[in-house]
Amino acid sequence: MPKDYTNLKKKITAALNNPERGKTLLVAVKRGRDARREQLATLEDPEEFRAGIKEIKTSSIANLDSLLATFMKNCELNGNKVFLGKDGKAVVDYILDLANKNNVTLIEKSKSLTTEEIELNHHLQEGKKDLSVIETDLGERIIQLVDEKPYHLVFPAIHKTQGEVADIFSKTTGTQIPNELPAIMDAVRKHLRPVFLNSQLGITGANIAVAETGSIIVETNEGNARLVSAIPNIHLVVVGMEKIISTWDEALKLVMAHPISATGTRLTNYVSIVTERLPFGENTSRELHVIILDNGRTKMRADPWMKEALECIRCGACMNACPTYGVVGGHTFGYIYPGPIGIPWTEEVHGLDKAAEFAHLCISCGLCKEICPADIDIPMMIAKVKEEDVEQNGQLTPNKILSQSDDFARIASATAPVSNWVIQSRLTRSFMDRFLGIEKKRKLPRFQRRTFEKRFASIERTVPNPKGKIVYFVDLVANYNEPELGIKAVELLQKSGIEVAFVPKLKPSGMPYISYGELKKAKKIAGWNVDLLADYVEKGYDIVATEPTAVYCLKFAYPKLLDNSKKSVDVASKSFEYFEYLEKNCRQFNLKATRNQEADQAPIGFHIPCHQRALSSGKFTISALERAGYRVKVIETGTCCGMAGTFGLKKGPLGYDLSMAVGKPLFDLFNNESPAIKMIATESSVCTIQLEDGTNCELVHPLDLISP
Amino acid sequence: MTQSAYSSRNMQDPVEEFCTRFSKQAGMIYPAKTPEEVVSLVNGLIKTRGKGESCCSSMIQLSHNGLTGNISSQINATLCPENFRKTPLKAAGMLDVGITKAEYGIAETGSIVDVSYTDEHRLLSSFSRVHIAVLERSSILAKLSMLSPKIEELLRADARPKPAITFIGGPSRTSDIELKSVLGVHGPHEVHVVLL
Repeated sequence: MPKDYTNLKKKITAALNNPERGKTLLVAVKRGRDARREQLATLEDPEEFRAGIKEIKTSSIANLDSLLATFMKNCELNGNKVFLGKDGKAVVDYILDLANKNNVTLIEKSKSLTTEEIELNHHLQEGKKDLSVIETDLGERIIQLVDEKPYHLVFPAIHKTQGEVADIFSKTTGTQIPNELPAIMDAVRKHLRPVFLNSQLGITGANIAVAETGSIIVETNEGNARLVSAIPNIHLVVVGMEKIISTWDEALKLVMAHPISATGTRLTNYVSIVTERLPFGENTSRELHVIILDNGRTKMRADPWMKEALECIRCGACMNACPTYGVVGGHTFGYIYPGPIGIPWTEEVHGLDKAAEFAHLCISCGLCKEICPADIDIPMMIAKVKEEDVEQNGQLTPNKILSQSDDFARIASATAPVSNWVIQSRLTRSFMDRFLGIEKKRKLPRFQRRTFEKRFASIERTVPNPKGKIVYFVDLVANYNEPELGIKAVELLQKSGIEVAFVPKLKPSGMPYISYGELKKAKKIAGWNVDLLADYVEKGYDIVATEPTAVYCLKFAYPKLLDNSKKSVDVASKSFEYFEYLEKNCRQFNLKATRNQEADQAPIGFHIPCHQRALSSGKFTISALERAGYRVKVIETGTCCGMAGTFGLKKGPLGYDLSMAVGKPLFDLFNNESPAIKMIATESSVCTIQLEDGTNCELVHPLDLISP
Repeated sequence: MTQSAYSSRNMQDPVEEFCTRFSKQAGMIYPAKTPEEVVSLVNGLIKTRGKGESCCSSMIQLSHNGLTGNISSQINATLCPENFRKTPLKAAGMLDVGITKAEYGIAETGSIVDVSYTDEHRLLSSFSRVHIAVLERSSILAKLSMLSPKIEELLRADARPKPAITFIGGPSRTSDIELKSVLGVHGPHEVHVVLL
């Protein structure tokens, strides 16, 4: 019997029923996205910036053995104690031993997710009863006082209102603190100042460890890490081994990369470089201990898919892009490491059970990879975690059904129109809702008996003196549900002088298999399709699809699934979005508008599907529409509409409810635009369903707006 | 990766860029033409912004017209560095204004760079309510990457001690409570740079 994720669903429902908290989180993540984008625009070459980070992190992880040895040697030569902690217990034991030997009763700490990974505070206080461990980062101190885990990587207490924070410090200090920010901050300073001055041991993390000089770098905005690393007699650093990089050149690039991605600033307010323990007054016998944590990182390095997670620079940008994280927050979408990158990290350091509790919140939109400064393939790592969970615990019924939508579509199409009548009937929809988990509120597309495949067989295919030749990858919807769209796509290309081939044996992209953790099946489909298409590519054909997700699979998912085989890479290099191909190869042919747009009418609203953000973000489609004479305006929140393929078809909190909550900000943008948007153009068949349900606008495919 | 990937677009003058960025980050800048003017400005700030004890770094060396001189003894701080060194915890508890020299400024990030050879020196810019830093224009670097060889030199194998190096972008800050920006958390509420 597969797991039902009851606990996760309860948490999602609780999050959806707390709109105030949800609103604050949405503001925080949107601010993060916007600030990052604005800051990137000030750089000379934002793409090279990203490529450079990838290069530094990839080579650092590849050379980790020698970097580790160099760092340890240089750090020890600086007079420091260095310890390689194989796991959390080893680190806790080391610190307890140090605390006991030095009569430590008070530890001050600056923010460190690595220490939270091993639940250091809890284990230290359990291991030495007279020991107090006090977090000094404001957000961390707030959640420490209420015994909660971080809600967001950068803003751990963002879910707490100002009033709640005032209450927390009132209880802690025993004095009534008014709900005013200056009063709260005054109380915080008074509360923590004696901690800074009186601790015997200060523990920090490190954002970067530099092998060249055996130094560590700690970045904060509050300045607390400066005090934690300066005042106590002993300074102890806990740093994950993946943070070690080689040179100062590389370190200074990463020092800028963190805040650009995390908060959209050029540099974190304080960047502290510590290399050896310095005297404090007349006390020259002070200590610096650097603990390098393994805790599963060596094992991760050996895993060809998961090792990329080690390249994470802990900026939290993926959380700001993630549509479901942005609705439910880190207490639902996380264990200790929250958000998209939190899924593979949790699986590797805390175990599959913990990761599986929130892995299925990933709706495979791919936005985390698009925003990641290190270009980490987070979506595919998450798919791997889902696969392990499914293999161990079984697959959810709606996931099973929806991932086999190709088989279902074939049968429904062959038996149309009766199948449509049956599927659309209230009884069937109630049955599907109750027993199969398919939301009855969703309008399901109708199937056509005369599929694209059948229609293509009867259209003229010869193009005199063709300028180019393509294989049209029809995918699922354009074959079984909207074959007229497919035919329109073909005819427009033919009229533009392009020969179009159709390969009936091609299967739909298989994206649902990736979304639901059925990677073996996804790989089989990828292999099948790539084998067929590679033959055509060899004969000089390009591959064109009208469905953005299909192009996404051809260009990114298939090569990953097929270990970047030559065939998959060749097919990827020759795969194009429909309008990209049209605009690059057929611009000399005029396009006419098929719909009237009055001068005083609102522009057409354009929606960018998530998978299209990894491609052209719709720029070629917009170009074609503008060439036809339309005014077009992109309306976006910067994240997903919420449909996420078949996710939004599923019933309940791990489906429709969450899907609509994710989509609401976008619906509001479309519905409240002035002058009022009447029409939305998008190329995604599933985004169309979502926007039809959530907006007052007519949904149109761009192909229906133009003619040759 | 080329250096240009990180470059700001359109940086004309590093000093101007530094001043613009540092000011946007809530730092204050006071231009001075001579070391005497620096002393006057620093003493003026201690008087107008200070509410308690002040301490000045003993090594504020400035170069002007080919001459180098230490101005620390001319700064009207109330706590002398020697006493600070004797009882640093007690002094830190009383410290209101810290005066230091910024070794470098970084234009593209709007940061000053503190180089400290003792941990009590670090407190002058980290535990004070008001931090006053003296910076020479000639020390302003256009890009953060230009600091790399200087860091390598400061931290070279035979350097003793190897200093703590800190980039400071302005007053300490947080947005942890409802994303509301607050200046002056545990570090300075105000950072004033006197620019020679």
